Amino acid sequence: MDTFLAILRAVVFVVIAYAVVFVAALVNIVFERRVLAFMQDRHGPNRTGPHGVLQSIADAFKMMGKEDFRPLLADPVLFTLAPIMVMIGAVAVQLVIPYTSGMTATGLDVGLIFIVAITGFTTMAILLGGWSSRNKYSLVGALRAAAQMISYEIPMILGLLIVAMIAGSLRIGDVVAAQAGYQWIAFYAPFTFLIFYISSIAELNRGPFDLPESESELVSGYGTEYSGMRFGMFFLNEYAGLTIMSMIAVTLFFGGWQGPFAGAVVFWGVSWIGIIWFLIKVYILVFALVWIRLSLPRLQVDQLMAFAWKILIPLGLLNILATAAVMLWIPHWKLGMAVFSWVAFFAFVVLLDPILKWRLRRQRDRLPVVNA
Amino acid sequence: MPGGDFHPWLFFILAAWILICGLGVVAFKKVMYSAASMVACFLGVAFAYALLNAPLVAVVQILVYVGAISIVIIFAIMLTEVQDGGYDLFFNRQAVLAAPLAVAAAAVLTVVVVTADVGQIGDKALNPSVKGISLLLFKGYVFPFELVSLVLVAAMIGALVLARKEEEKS
Repeated sequence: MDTFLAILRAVVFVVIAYAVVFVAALVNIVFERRVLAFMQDRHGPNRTGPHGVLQSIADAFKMMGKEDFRPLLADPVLFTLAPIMVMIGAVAVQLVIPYTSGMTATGLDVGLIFIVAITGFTTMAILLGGWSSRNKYSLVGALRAAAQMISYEIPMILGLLIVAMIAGSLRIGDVVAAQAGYQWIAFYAPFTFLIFYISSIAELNRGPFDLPESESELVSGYGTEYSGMRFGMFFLNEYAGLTIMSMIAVTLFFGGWQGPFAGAVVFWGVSWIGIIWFLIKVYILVFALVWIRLSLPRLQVDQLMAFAWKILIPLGLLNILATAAVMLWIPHWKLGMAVFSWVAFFAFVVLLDPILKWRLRRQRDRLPVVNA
Repeated sequence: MPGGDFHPWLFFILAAWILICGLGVVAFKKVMYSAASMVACFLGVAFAYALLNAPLVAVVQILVYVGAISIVIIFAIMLTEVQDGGYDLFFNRQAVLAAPLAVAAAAVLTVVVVTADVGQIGDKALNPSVKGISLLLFKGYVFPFELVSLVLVAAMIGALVLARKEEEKS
């Protein structure tokens, strides 16, 4: 009987995870299009259903109705396998995220590493998809995506390490518990959150880091040869990724499901108000992601790599050193860390732009002079 | 039971999966298929660790082997592979020499596994949690651990030096 219940529980959570991927992707597409339209002072999709909320559903049906087309020279096995693999990452990573108290698929005691490990699936799926398409745009897009995702994984891990140091555990439930009483990690380690958030945007391949599928150079990158529902899988993963990455960020830095009255309505061992708080926080971050995409222009490849390897990773390492020193030697380490981290946060925000501009100017000066 | 409470058949299915994928790595003529098969093999090994109640080792296996090593290998294949060339060159050249060696190695391994006295599971093996492993790593085995990282750094620097030299020649 216990085995049966355990299997049932697992099935329920996997179904929830799939549902989150599909619903989040459909919601996010409309959400993004409407928010972009609002910010650009135009209407956006507003014909299908009230305020255009049904637009994604119409798009989804259009996509499913398309011909399942495979280029003649594409590798038949890997071309099919890649879109399936891309879903694994999106679904599996949710299994360690507590949607609310008492609603986690598994309280794995290495949850933080699990999150990082599972991202590898998405990278690999994109690589295989791009390679098997037999198309130069796909190949270059896939190479760019993989290089970018591998590079930005490192600062992301450096950010996660600090979360693990603060919580004293790799279990996600403990990380949430360490933030009880509104002592959210983002409040006293904002610099860590900044590094994590920037690299998570790059992991999502979103603007300003959307080089793998920059339309003006690569048609649509690794997805060029995909159409119909196979393309739909990549598309779903990308847009569900907004929500999933924000879920991770909220869980690790913004206290997860915790909020006022989170413990008020509890039945079946699950705090139902927690879900509402969780969703509110997640969608604030999703809104920020859309906002960032709209505000910032796309980076060049060399700028992208330099930003990861020469700026984010050294800063991440220094941040770990400083955090460890503060935790070790300062008695009220949360206060000490807040001071140091907020100073670093503002220094980074203020100094980043002049430093990048200075780098750009120096590069330009080094270019050989062409005599016309 | 420290080995995890799973049905023995689960282990046999897993072992078959690992073996088949391992054979696939050798047998596939397309390099990319070999790489994909290797990924599947690594995943099987990760599942085996998970079954053995060692989630940390399982997740690290996925992180390092699937997430890093395989991706770098696929990366290299993508950058170097010639699309329309024969792959026969890589295979079967030294089969006559290799076959008896392989059989001999397999025989030795079988004899060792069958005759070895594995003994009882030690105290340390009973604590595969993150805490247990990190205590071992950072207290008991700090020196070997650091030594290994030194070897890795040396290998990395060596690779860089080799790569640079080639660049200067051309």
